[in-house]
Amino acid sequence: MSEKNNDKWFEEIISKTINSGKPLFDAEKFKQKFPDEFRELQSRANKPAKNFQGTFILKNPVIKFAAAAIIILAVSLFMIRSGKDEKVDIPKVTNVTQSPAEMLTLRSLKTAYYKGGIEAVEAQCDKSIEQLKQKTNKITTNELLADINGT
Amino acid sequence: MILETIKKANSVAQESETILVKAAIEGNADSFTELASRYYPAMVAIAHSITGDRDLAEDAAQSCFAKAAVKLPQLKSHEKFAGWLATICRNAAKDIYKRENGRCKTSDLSKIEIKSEENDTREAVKDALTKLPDSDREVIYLRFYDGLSYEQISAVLGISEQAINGRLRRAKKKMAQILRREGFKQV
Repeated sequence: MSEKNNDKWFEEIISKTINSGKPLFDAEKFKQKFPDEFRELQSRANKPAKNFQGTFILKNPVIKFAAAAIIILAVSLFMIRSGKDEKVDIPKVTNVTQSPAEMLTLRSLKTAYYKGGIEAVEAQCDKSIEQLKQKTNKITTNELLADINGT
Repeated sequence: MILETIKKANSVAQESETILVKAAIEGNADSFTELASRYYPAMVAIAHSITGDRDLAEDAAQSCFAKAAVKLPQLKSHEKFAGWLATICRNAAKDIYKRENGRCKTSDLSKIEIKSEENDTREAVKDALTKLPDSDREVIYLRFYDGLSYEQISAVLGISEQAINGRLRRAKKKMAQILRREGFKQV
């Protein structure tokens, strides 16, 4: 027997073995056997239909991106516009009081010299001594060192 | 040209099926019945490959459609209806097989046949089928049960027609090997 005929014979015997007539769906029998399920299927027809157009629009990825872009743009515009009207409190630059130790550093004295010559250097020294003079005699060594270092 | 025509016909069929699925989700009983009529033979074939019994297979297929009628709104991709249905059917068939396994079935009693060479061959083929892996047995049943087309099998299994052809060829080869071991020289 050739291979082709052999294959045909084999397929026929498989078909004869497993085939026992074409199965047909009997709708009436199905309704009788599964009344609850069939009723549930039909009950969906009475429910109000979903807004399929809206669903479709949101399902489309291009429209999704466009919608997201519009929202971001609108929010940005709103923020820019509202930002214009607001008066932003700019914090004032305050003079930071330097500690006596900082006032007597080489850098600090050099800056004072450039600003006002030797008079400015003397004034800065006097100022630092003035600050130290304000302390009472009861001050401890640790407190004095902390005061000099400005900590 | 022919291929293009086949492709167009397939897409039209797919489109009409998607419409039927949508209508069934919305509760149209006629659309559901049409879908059930289309896929009932394939579902019986799948269930038969699991249960090994025609009556149980029909029960499983009907139970599958009952579950589908209720769960249909949960199906997100309408074009994957056949594959989704096949999954429900496999589970239903496994449940029925577990429940009925061990019980004496009426169909078993009716199968007492007169010994003949052809009956022996059929019994051997049946035995070889049980020794195949589940996926191979399933494709054999789908192809030879009611002569389902490759296109229909493809829709149910969710694989390409070439893949079905390959799986079918391998399954037949395995069956032939089993039968040869049993002493059948024709295959």
